[in-house]
Amino acid sequence: MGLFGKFFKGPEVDMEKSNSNAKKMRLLFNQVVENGDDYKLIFGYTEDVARFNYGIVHGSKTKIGNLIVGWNEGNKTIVVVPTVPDLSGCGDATYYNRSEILKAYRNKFPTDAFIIYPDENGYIGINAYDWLDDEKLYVYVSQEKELEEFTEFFMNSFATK
Amino acid sequence: MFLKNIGLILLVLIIIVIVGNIWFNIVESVINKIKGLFNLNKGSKKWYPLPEENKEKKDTDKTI
Repeated sequence: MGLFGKFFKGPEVDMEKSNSNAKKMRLLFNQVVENGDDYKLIFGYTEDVARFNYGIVHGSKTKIGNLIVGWNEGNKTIVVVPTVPDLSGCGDATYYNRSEILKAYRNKFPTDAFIIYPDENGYIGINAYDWLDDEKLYVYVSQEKELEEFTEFFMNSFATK
Repeated sequence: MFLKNIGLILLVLIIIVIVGNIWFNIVESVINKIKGLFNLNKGSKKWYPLPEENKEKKDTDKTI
């Protein structure tokens, strides 16, 4: 590869860091989910966009929530565990079983997200990408293969329409 | 004269941005304090730190 090839190649994934974070994700997930090893894992995030109008200043602000998303193909369950970008801890797990949810579908616009409505009162939108470079906002993990598997599971076994 | 006018406009724009930022932060802090008052009685959600096993490993890596 020439000089220009290297220059235009873009950022590369630090696989050591990515693998270390993948292990941390597994540790955290197994800590709060019974039989956690039965679930495959990816990193996802939610976006909460709120508009504000403070008189002379108005606009919108976005809150990002990091998630460890686990899925079990056998019992068609998705488990979502909130976490932080440095994976120093996690919150309680929320379970979404295919037979108990209201609806689930993949949204393409305005953002590519996996939407799950557990009931009529609310929903969760899970955004997931194969790798996100910004370590301050997102968990640093490369997950191209895992994301493909999750997408296939969601579209073929979990989505309701 | 022309450069002076451009400088003046830039200065006004910078002042607007600074005042806007200060105003935004003041309103945000007031709103957060009010929210904090309402959330005092609500139990905080559970938080589980990363298991010690992993942290110890990290420490030994550092000493090596």
